Amino acid sequence: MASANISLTRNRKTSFAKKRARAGFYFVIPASIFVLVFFLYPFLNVIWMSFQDWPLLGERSWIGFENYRTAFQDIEFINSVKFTLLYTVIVTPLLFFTALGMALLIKGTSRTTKVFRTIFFLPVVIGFGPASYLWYWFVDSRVGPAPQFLRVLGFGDQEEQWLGIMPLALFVVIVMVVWKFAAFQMILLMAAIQGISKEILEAAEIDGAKGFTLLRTITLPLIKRTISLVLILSVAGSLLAFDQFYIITGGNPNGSTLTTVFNIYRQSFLQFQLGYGAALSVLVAIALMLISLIQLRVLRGDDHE
Amino acid sequence: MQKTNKIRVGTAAVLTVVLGVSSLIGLSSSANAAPVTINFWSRAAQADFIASVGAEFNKVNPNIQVKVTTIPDAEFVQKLSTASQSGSAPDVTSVDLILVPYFAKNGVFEDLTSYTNALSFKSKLSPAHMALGAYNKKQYALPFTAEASVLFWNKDLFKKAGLDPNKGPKTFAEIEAAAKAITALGGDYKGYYFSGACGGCNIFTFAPMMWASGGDILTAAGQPTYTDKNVAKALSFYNRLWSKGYVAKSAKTDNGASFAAPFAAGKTGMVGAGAFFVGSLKNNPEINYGVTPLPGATGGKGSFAGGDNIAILKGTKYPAEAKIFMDWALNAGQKFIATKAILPIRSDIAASDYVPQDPRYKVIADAMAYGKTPYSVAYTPLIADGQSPWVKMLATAIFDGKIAAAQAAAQKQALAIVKKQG
Repeated sequence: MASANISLTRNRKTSFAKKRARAGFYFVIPASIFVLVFFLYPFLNVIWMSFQDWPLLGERSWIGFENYRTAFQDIEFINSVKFTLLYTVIVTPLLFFTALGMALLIKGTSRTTKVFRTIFFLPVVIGFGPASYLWYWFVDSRVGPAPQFLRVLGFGDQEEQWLGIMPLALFVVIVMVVWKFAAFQMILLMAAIQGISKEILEAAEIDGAKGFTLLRTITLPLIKRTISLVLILSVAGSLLAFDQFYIITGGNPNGSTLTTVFNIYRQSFLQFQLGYGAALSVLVAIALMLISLIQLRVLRGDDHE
Repeated sequence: MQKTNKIRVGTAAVLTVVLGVSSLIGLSSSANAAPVTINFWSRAAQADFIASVGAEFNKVNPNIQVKVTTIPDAEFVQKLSTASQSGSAPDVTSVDLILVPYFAKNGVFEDLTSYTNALSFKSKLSPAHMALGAYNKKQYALPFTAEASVLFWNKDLFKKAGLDPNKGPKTFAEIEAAAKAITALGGDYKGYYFSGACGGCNIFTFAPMMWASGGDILTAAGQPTYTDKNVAKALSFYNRLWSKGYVAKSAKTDNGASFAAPFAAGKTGMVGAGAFFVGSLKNNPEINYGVTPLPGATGGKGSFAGGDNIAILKGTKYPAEAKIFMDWALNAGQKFIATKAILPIRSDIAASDYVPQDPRYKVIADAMAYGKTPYSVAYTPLIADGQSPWVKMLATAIFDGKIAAAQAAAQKQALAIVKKQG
């Protein structure tokens, strides 16, 4: 009797699970088609292109791994990888801590915090291109308000273009990216922080945790998933940086701010080597997948949720 | 809600099909009556007047309607290349003359050799445009708009600095002396300006001074000669202007966004620019300026004979209509652009319709005649790319003062590019 009962429930469960699974399958079809057409097919295509000498116009020929061999000896490519890594290492923590700070400031629900939330979020709404142009002129030594401001404060004549001096050019882009993107991460983090149940926080406070201790031992561990999402988005986004450098620095001074993707664009459309550009894209894609995998592993770590 | 959306989408789809079919029927039943639309591309540098060119043609040719699309200069090569491969190319295009060898080599344009030979005014067409429009002894593109580079000098600033306002500088030394005197006025006054990070700008305004000094970066066959000692002369001249502070510091990173604009603000003594700049200076009537040939080290004169060619894309559905537009562009169209302060590409129309408008136009029309245009199928990788050997050489030589090293590095990079692009 009992055993029959059990088997009945199990049966019901399996058929229900099957139905659910089938429904799920139908639900993912549109997304899968999208991924197939707009990701998988182009990606396989790029891999196929990367084994060819494929000019922008003209005859193509199969050259095997030649493009990859070239890549590993190409100083320009190697330098662009180094620079992109440097940029990522600097911009990721800056973005994260700025966003976290802002999220903690505006997590409340009072009218003032709402106003600030909106103000902080405004730059996110501007497109990357317009925002980059905005900053290009913002720091221009002739007409830009930023150098003008320093002049008024008495910091020299500021005649030198900031974008013409190396660490400064990178610094300008980083400030722009933080200004533009921190609020996006802020919203994600804020939502996660607001999702922590009041009881936990109150219990912790009763136990005497407050301020930084509360943040470090209670808040941060509880929003670990969001933090890992934010960091993965941020690292992937930074490794693929293009628009901001294309518009603000043009890869200069003297090619020192040429990012990997910018270099791929150059090789493909200005040096007319689509095949070589494809090979570099494949390398970047592989590196990005590996880095994201490692990040997922590390950040998931001892997550028991 | 979702249902209504679905219904709407469905209705729209049905409507589209019905409309599509009916327009097909319309086309086949009255092929002659319905106006043919020709897609025509131009780079954004011509945005000021190109739409009016299309409108003017459409006014006089109701049966053929030209639809003008402007493409950002920096994206023109990739847009036209990819469009021609995917079958979405325009029927006719205006194309920076310097890019024609690349497109002609790769079979993007229709062969216009016999059409060209039948033109009664063939001898009046700009030789530079004709040369760049040819590839392997066939003509693939014809002249459309002309542009030549000259030196602009601010007469009021020359006077203020104690120089003869009516005499434009004729050597490097004279430019340097004038730049020094104007910079000495202090404040925001600077002697000279150029866009230091822009390959195209400098091939237009700097290369002519290099050519007038007897140097060049490419042979007639397109082989790189970046280490030429006369190239060094021109580089060290610019380096002196820069290091002595006669040039605004913004020049170093200027990717062409400012180009000649600082001159229009009235604080810059001299700048290299072209016919287009005479047009834009009409908005600054307070600037009292003259134009003179860009000089070489010890005299002589150089100019970049530029502008656009016009070409018909291979595979166009309307070759006959495209030729009608081309006919117009080479005749009435030339008179029309002359009214827009654009230098015509026919010497006869330039003399009758353009030069009489302004005495300075004569200097520019003359510059067109002695001007030169590099011929290379690898212009984009060699010169236009922001990291090209040309741009890198200018940056290292002019702003860092390492002239010989800059030339050697550029030569090496250029040789590799030429080897690849053939």
